[in-house]
Amino acid sequence: MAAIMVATSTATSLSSNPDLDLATRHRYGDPKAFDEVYSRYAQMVFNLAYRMSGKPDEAEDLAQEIFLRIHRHLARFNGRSTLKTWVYRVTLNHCRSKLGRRRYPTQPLADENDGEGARLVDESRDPEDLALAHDASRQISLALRQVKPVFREAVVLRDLQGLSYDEIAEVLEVRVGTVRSRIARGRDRLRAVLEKNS
Amino acid sequence: MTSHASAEALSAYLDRQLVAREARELEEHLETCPQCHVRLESLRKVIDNLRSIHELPTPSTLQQAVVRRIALTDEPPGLLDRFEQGLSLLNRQNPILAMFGVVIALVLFIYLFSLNVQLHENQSDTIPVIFQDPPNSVADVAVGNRVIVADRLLIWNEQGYWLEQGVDADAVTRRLQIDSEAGRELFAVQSEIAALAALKRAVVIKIEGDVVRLE
Repeated sequence: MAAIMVATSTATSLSSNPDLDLATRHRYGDPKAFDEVYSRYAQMVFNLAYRMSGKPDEAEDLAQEIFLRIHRHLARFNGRSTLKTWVYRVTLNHCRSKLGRRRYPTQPLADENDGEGARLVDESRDPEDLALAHDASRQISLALRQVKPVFREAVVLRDLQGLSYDEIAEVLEVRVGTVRSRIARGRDRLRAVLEKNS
Repeated sequence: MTSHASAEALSAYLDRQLVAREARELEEHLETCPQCHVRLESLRKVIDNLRSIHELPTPSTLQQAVVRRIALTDEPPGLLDRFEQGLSLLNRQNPILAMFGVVIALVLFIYLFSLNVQLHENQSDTIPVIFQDPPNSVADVAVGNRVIVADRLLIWNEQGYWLEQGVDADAVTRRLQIDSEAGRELFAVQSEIAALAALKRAVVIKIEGDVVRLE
């Protein structure tokens, strides 16, 4: 144990990259390193999985598998990207791998009644605003599922997760021009679905 | 800008992704084009709505489930696991290329397998192991006696030496002398024979008095 601690502190002191330090600590068996990764990214992983699968239960299963994968591969994180974009990439790759077999669900609005809107808005708001927000939030969430996964990914990363174009390009491993195009097409499709349903 | 603005330009404009000149041209167009102006405002509303969606809270059971699964099932990833992941990604992005890749991999595998078989077949021809002269420290031998040295089947032949089955006795290509201690049994030099065989060299084993010599 003492040897591990020495090795960990040596590795930590050698690197100026906190993400890499985290991976190094994980490699040397420090359980707190993975705990830190979990607490940083759990909500992001779960919500991204939810937006891609469309079902909370399935998102939880996916999130478990994604963290299992992160636990396995974190030691090999090389610091060429940020840990944040790496985790996003692992998450999306896993969702694609699992959901791709079903060609990523795009579900009809008529089939949806999971009461999701009630959980998506700020409960502290005025009741009338709240009712409208519930409805708007639910409509946009459901409409998002009508967007093709390749465009939905880009829109979710940009507008729900708040990533920059450069970060999205890194996550999706495409050029910034492609990101720009995918975001625009996703938003345009979303606008069309909302207009059709209004 | 004479025609209507593209959806991509409007989207990029709202994200401040247009360069100054492009943004200025679009703004000039929007001043004179009510249709594009409406489209821009509609898109702005969509984005505002998207950004107002609150995230779902992480399920309280998630962390425990992750810890449990790590304890139960986490293993180092195998080659197959990574192959499956790569293939799945490729399959989703370009199914035709993925199928082509699988066919190429299969052909390559079959070719390498047959090559490996050929190498093994040729190996016994190119790495002769020959025991010359009757070994004093081994029991009396007669034509047809068999002995296994370094996993090779050797037969005492009519010319009076041990010869690996199926090997050309003249195919001796290299000489390397390793003296062993007097009186040692022949089998003590197995590891040296194996090392030379691994180098694909011909090995001649001579017994001179009490000395076993590899040449």
